[in-house]
Amino acid sequence: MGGDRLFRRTAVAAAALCLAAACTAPGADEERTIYVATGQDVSGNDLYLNLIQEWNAAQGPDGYRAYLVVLPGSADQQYAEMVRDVQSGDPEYDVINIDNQFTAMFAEAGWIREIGPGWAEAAGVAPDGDSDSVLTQVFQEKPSQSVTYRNRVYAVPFTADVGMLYYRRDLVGQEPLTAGRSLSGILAELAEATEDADVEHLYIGQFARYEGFTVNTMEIVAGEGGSLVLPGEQRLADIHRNSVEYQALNLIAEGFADGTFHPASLEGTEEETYVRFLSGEAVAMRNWPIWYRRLLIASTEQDSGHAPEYTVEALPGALLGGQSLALSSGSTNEEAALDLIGFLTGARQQQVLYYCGGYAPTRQDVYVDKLSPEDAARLCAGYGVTGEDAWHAEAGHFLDTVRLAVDDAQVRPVTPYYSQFSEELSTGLHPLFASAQRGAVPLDTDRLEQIRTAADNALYGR
Amino acid sequence: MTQTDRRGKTKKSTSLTGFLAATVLSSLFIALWQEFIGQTLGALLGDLLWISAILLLLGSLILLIAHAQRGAPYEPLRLIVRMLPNSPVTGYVLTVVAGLSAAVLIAPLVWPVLSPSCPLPTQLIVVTAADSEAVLREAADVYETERREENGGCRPVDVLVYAAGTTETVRQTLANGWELPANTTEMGAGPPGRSYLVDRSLGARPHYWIPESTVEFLELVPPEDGRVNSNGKLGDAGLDYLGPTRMTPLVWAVPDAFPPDVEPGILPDGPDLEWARPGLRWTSVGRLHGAHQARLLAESGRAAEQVQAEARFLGEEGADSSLALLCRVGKWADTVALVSEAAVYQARSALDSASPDCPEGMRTDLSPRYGPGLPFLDHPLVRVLWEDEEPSDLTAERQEFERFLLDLAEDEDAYAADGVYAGYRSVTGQGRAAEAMAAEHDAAHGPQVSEWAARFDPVQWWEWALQADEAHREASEPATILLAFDRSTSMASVPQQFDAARTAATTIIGDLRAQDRFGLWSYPAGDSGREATAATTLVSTTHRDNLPEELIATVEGLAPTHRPTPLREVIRAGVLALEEDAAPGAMLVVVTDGVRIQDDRGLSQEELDRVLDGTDVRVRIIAVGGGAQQAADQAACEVGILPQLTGHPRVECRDADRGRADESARGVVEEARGGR
Repeated sequence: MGGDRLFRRTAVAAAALCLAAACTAPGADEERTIYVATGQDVSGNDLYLNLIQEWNAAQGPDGYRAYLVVLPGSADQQYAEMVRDVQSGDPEYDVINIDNQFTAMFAEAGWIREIGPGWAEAAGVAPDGDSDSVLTQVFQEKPSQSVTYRNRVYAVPFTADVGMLYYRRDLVGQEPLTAGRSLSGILAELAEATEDADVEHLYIGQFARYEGFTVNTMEIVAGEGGSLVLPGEQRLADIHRNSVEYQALNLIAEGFADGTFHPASLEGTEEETYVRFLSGEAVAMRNWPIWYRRLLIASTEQDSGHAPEYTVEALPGALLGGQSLALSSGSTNEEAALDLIGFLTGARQQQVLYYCGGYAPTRQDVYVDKLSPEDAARLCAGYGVTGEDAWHAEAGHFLDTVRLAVDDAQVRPVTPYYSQFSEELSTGLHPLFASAQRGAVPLDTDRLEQIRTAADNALYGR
Repeated sequence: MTQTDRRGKTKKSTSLTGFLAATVLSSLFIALWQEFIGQTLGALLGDLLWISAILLLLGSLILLIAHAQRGAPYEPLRLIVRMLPNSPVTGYVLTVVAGLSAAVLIAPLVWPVLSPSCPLPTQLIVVTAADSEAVLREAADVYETERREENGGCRPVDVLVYAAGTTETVRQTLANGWELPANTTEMGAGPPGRSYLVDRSLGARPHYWIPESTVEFLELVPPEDGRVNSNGKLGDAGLDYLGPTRMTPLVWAVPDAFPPDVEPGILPDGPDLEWARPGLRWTSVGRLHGAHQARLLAESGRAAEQVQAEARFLGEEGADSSLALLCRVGKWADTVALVSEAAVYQARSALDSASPDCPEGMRTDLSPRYGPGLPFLDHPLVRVLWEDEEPSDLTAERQEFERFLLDLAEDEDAYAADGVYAGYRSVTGQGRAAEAMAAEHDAAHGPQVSEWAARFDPVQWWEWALQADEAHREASEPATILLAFDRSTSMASVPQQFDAARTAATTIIGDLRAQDRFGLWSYPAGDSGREATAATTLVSTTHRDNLPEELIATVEGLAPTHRPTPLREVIRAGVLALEEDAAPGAMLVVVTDGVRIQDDRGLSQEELDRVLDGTDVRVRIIAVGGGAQQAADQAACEVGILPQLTGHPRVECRDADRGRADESARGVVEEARGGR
């Protein structure tokens, strides 16, 4: 998608020059302008921009104006651009929509401000001394934890994400899986249930060399009862032959060796994985909750043959993802920026993001005050989003699934060096899994020890 | 001193036996534990260590107090004191034990505080061309490792390298403050006139730009007095030209059947030979090969043939890099590819010619042919400054990085087969891996490349490139294109489909020139009745300069909203409309996934074929992929009814999935201008 989008944008640029189209550069009143930097809105319905425009409209003719700055689709480039901006000495962005795992880094570097007290005041939430509880009065506990660093709140949860297990109900049967909460158990059950099915691979995930690799690997280790990074400690678990961690890593390697894991997983990101799963190339898929909406809408378009049915549940050992809105230290419009953050994380806006875009909410009340399919359709029609009845029919029920998954999710290591840690882990393990695909199993414990040491050092920025 | 017990054994021998037994048993226990339930041993030992440390600390503190209070009147202390030897050493031993226990307890708490964490690394961002991305990433990895070692194990810098599309893309975006122009579509409740969108989705703003050639820099910062002007300003960005980072000569990559005695020069015409070149408008490789022809023809008194020389490349403009071209010519046995030496080397040395970007495999059996007049790609390092001032630590890291890259430009080891720049040549024209390949195929010219490199003058070649551009423009004929855009709901089964469709449409619009004519339809017009089999005219066919300003916004605003896909009906209607228009060489371009969904039988293929039999209008289908309807081993042009449609000779299909939408669209536009 990235390539297409990129070239489309390019063509837009070229065409705009050819046609001398008006360019909507930011207005002259820079002092009353707020820039919100974010990754791309993957809902396909321009919801981020619509919400920004709503806020602008509410400011009146002389009020502040917010601009949505859309950063590249790649998570690595989003991160690089945000770091580039704050390191420049004269940051441009007032509000940044950061992946939760980078909150600690931005906070440690002083690039974002402590936001808790200001947000609480703007949102009318009474502080009671405990930094966490400022947010947890409104938001879910786990997303609140993930934006808290050294007992200070640095961002407001915007969208929640958690690892989900999608699978083909038409192949597996209508009954829920009974294999317990380990991936190996679930894979065995799926294998048995789909013995006669014409699907080549059981499982597809995201094991390309990017941050998704780290998430997928840590989830499988946790799903097997281990923990790659020891809870509460800034170090990796020992990975010796009899450790759960080794066995979990070997489960992945053997999965690639015998074809249980789709080989394309090694090059797959979230969207590519979704496409392959939708095309019927795997029985089960690990992905974020947002793809359920697309899956339901797409599956209603099957025009011939036996239409696949999908179901989704929490992935064993799921990690918490999600994005949160942080206030840049360089912003000179703190009050207005906080107001905008409060607006974007308001209950109605979270409903819009969920029912019209599939973004899992972070607010507790959205999980409780569910909309009926009719109300959801009405809400979305106001944003030009129609024809999503299949999704709206399931959206209320799916909220319960997501809430439970988020409540049970594990938070990623809170370290300013998460990026380095993730890079070391994927750089080290990816070649091992690629070799496993060519038969190199079981995994070499000596090599794993080297990777463990490197990743351990990376947790401290070395 | 040895003591004897009542059974006559010495305590020393008892202790020794006990010690050995304890050791053996402990070892056995640990070994068994490790073998069977090893995963909990670490945790158990960890817990035991903590409990032992607490007990030891408490015990040693109590004993210390007792030892210090030997004369105290407290009975419990006196009882304890009786167990302790009355010696000053006792106090020291107890103090050490208490200290060690306390240290064990405190260490995990204070270690993170005391441990010297590394400062957060500085981020550097490099934007480059598609063919250079992999090699520059490798160079960046080497640099990061070197800097980490120099810096006591802490990584001081993190370098991101990415490719941002074609030369033209980067040039335009640099000139526009690294923003893509926002569209003017009004959405939601915003005040009129503003979209409040700043589009930086092209990529992170770069600190450096490393294009294929200095010619691209000269496009933005024209030369002064026949020399490269090292400092330029472009919108918000300052551009500093720092010099070439590596070189590679342009070559003819020829198949085995190519005559052995023909050297690169003016392109010969022959019935058995085809010529392929990366896009002149999209790449420096294509542009400089074009410049080479322009120069040879001019210097041999045949300047009038420049337009004719360019005409042979119309219709082959899609490839946006040398490697993409080698992928494209994979199936053509008699094609000479005009590419770079490094690309030939990369193709020949790839472990696997097939890749996600080139699933059918690259052409790996072509041999390089060298000519004294062929120019070079010199991959210059261009510093991009977005701010007038920047923090000193960032400046320092920039200087280190620049030094590294410019040193590497002359480091001959980097150009060996195991070097980061294998297949390229240093700025002096030396490159062991490339020379070995040259020697294998063309021993006569390989060694002379370094002499040619020394004579390479980018300013001169830029001037020849301008002539080639002009010849290319003159060779093209005005195009008439009617674009029919599929907005049926099947186009949204995966997000890439609709994105590719928009890319194709906007690429075509972006490519239009003043004399071109263009019209835009979307289909179906509705869900039922006549609307289900008809298209909506969004823009009637007209000259480019008469097109509405919001055309791009219109395309961006299209959404997959209706269920039917009346493909055959739309093709028939489009062909008839263009016939009525009577424009020579008109082309109907249908952007679709190929999935036909209709409640009734609709127009049959036979009926459509009859319409196509009687027309000169060409039909080109840009197939964006079938999403859920496309099998893993199926090409986009094989989805749904597309094979039936392309059964007619006037209908051809171009795969536009896997990020190829822009390439396909550009090729189609070139065809519409009179190419093959």
